[in-house]
Order: sequence, then C-alpha cells, then structure tokens
Amino acid sequence: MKNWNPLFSATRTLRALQAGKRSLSRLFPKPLWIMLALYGLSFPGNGLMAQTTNLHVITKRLEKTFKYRETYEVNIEGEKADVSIETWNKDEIALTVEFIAKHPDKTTAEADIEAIKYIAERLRNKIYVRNYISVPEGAPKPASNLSARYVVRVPEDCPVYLKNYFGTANVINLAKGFRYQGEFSPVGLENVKGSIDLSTRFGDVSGKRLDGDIMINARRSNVTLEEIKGRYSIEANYGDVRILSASAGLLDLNITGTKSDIFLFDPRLLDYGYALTAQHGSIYFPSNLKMEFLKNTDEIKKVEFQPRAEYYPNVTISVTFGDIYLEKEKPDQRR
Amino acid sequence: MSEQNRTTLKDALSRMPVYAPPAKCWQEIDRELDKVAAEAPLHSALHELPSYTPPSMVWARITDTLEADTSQQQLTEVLAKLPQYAPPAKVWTAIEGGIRPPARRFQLMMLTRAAAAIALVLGLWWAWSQPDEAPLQATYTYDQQTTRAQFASIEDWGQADALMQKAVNEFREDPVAKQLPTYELLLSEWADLKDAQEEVAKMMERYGKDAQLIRQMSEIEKERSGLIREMITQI
Repeated sequence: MKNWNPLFSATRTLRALQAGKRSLSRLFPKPLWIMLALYGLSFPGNGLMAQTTNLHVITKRLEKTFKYRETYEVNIEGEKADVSIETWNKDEIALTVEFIAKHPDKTTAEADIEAIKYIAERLRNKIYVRNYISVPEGAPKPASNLSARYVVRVPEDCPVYLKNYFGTANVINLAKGFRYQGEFSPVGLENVKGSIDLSTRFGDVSGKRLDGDIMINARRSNVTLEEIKGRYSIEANYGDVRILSASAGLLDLNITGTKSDIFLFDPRLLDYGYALTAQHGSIYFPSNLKMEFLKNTDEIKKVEFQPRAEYYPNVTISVTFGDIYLEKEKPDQRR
Repeated sequence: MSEQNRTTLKDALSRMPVYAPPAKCWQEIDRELDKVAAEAPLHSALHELPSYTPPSMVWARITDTLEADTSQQQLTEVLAKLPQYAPPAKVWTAIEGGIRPPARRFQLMMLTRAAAAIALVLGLWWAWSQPDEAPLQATYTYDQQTTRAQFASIEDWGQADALMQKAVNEFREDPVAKQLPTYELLLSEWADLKDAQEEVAKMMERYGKDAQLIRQMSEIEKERSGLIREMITQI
C-alpha cells in the first residue's frame, strides 16, 4: 500500500490542483450530482467512535528449525502477515511464526485463532511456509481481528522467495537472491545482494544498499532506493520512483514509468550517461548538465548526455504522463 | 444442359449393383448417438464445475517429480547407448588365477556382509538421531488490550459509489473526453481501483477490520476521489 509520503504526492497534488483551477469555471454549469459527488467524497473515518473496548489478545507461537543445505530455497506465502527475514551464521533455517487473534470475547478469540492454518515443510530442496484461513463448511467465519507475524532466520546465501498478500515485509542482509511478489504489502530491503526480483501492487518498495541484478515491477506503489549499486530495471505504473543516491558500483539504471514521476538525486550527476524521454511530461535537470535535446515538443521530450569518461553508468528513463527530475541534492539536504 | 444419351445412362444406372451396410453398422451408429446424448448433461455440467488454483507448492512438487522422472529416463537412455566391450581371454585367466580358495572367500563374504549390516544400522541410527527438521512446537500467550477504535462502525467508503459510477459513465460517453490521450488510462485506473477496493473489503471480512486495512481502504478511496475529480474536469 502506498504510504502517501507528502514528497511523493507533491507533484501529483500540484497537477491535480492545477487541473482543478483550470476547470473551476467549467465546473459551475455541471449538474448538481457532480457537486454532490465532490461533496460526498470525504475520507472514511467519520464513524470512528471515541469509546474504549477491552480486547483479549491471544498469540499462538510456532517454532520450527530446518537444517540448511547449499541448494535449499525458502518459499514463504504469507497472508495478512508481517514478515521479517534476517540472516545469521548458523547452518539452519529457523522459523518463528505468531498468529494473533483479538476479540472482546475470549472464547471467540480462542476459537478463531485455530482458523489460521499453517504449513512448514521441506519438499526436496524447498522449504515451504504458508499461512491461510480455513473454516469448515457451514462453520461461522472468524469474528476476531486476525494477523500473522513471521521471523525467518536464514544463512545469508539462502535464496528466499516471498509472496505476501496484505501485510508488510522486511528483509536484511541476504547475499544471494531474493524474489518478492506482494500485493497491498509494503516491502523494505536493506543490504540485499545478488539477484533481486520484486513485483508489487499497492505496496511501496524501499531499498537501501541493494547490489546485483535488480528488477522491480511496481504498480500503484512508490519505489524509493538509496545507495544503489549494480544493474537496475524498474517498471513503475501509477507510482513514483525516487533514487535518493547512487554508489560507485552503479552499472546501469533503466526506468520505465507510466503516470509516474521519476526522481534521481545524486551529487555526481555529471558522471553518468543519460537517455531520457518524457511523453506528455517534462524533464528537469541542473543547468550545468549540458543535455542535448533530440526532441522537444509539447507531446514528447527527449534528451541525451554522455560524460567524457571512458566507462560510465547508463541512466535510461522513459515516462509517459509523468516528469523526470535530476537533482544534485535530496529534498532534505536543500536549504 | 441436356443429356444426349439419357436412355443409355438411365439404363446403366439401373444395372449398377446396390449395397446395403450390415445391420451392426447402424447399431453402432445408434449406440454412438445415444452415447453423445447421454453424455450431453455431463459435458454441460463440466463447464459449470468450479475451478480451484492449487497452492504453488503443489506445482513445485509436480515439477520436481517430472524433472526427476525426466532425469531418470535420460539416464536409462544414455546407459542403453553405452558401447559394450569384452576383455581379452587372458584377462579372465589372470582373474581366475587370482581368486582365493572358496572357504576363505566365503569367510570374507560373511565378514563383508556383517560389516555392511553394522554400517547400515549405525547409519540409520545416526540419521534417526539427527533429524533434518525439528518438530513444530506451539505455545499460547494471553493478553488484554484496550482500544478506542470501533472499526466495525467505519464503513462509509461506499457511500458515494453511485455518484462516482455516474461520473464515470458520463466520462465514458463524453465525446470530448474520448479524444483525451489519458481516456483509456483513466478508465482502466478506475477499474483497477474498484478491484482493489473489493479485495480490501474481502480481506476485512476474512481477517476483521483493523487500522491497516482501514487505512488501505482510505487511500484507495482517496485515489478514487482524485480520479473522479480528474474525470469530471474533462467532461
């Protein structure tokens, strides 16, 4: 889920406001229902009552350990789960899973927690972990608030594949590879290396010190990356991409966006080669970056730049209905 | 066009032999037709059967098994293709010369078998005592929490649905809007958000309402509102 950082939405909000200004004069003759529609679109939350309720919180904790062998891979399929993946120096894969049920009635919470089912087993070289809700036919649906929490500890070379549906995911220090498929589930990565493949819908991605071959497909999600190294291929739809800084090991950066704004902040902007295209959008860059405009029309803008160095990282960005921003300083560094 | 030798042709045709298929052919056709008619309800019922997607681990297990079968088959094929060589006769003579008397061979065989059995027992004991995975242990903890939020009462996100849909319909039919480069994008965005809203609502039904789900629903609702505003400025 998008976190709605004000920085991300600033441009879009501005655009929306501009659109609103343009259209004010056109709005008045509209039928009454449009005005009603605008009026009716208030945020949910009005029904939030200031009453207090005592909830019984029951936590079911499960632990399981597997011996690790070099060819093993961990596959996690979480639902409404906060998943944390860490590394350690043991040749073991340790899973700690907690299921939580909250309800004012203790008996209900006790019964509902058993509706969350759990699988943790090894099949050949894959260790599968999965949680889901299963209620016998005809039995009432759980009435409690249910959620899951995973802490997974693996050796750093162990590749992990995580599928998460509604929840959160945090991954640190993996060295070989990480695959992620998330929906409505923000994911944070730090110091992850190797082959990284992320696909997300309605879940922001934030990454720090990622290195290797990185592929990101983000739909309706913002992507924020810091201290990037290696090769990046990012596809973003309806979400912004912000590269807050690049490290010396950056090899290539390819970004394609639709209805997305792309930001690249780096003090060494002159060290990179650029091929930037914006359809129905604009390209903003510092004046000392002598970009050559190959196309500059209302519909399309295309610029290129090559530094004098023999080897340099290539930055290729193409957006449709969005803008490209190259800036030397991050927003919090500007005064 | 008229036939010049009509009589001759008619005569020749009348002299042609007539063949009738054996009765069992018709019986067979009848049976097949009956079978088709009998199976028709089955075929229509097949289309109405629900479909289920198995968890990914099931597919992975099938793939693994298939891969293993393929590897085994490849191994068998390659083994069958290996050339066969016969050693020269003098090799066999040398081997026969080197074989020890039967009594000692028997003792050696017994010893080898005993050693193998002991090794097997030791191996099994070692494997048994060192399991690959520890058993699952479940523990329960009980706690209480006070909350001020009454999430059950917050269900106001669908209130403007009818109006929103009306705006979308107007936008969809508007001739000016149809010319916009963003026309298709906006409509697909609307469909996306509608799907997302339904997914969040389903999740609330299954796992109960909590702050995170309410927030996600709010964000989708805000996006939908923004989208509607964008649409109505164009019509």
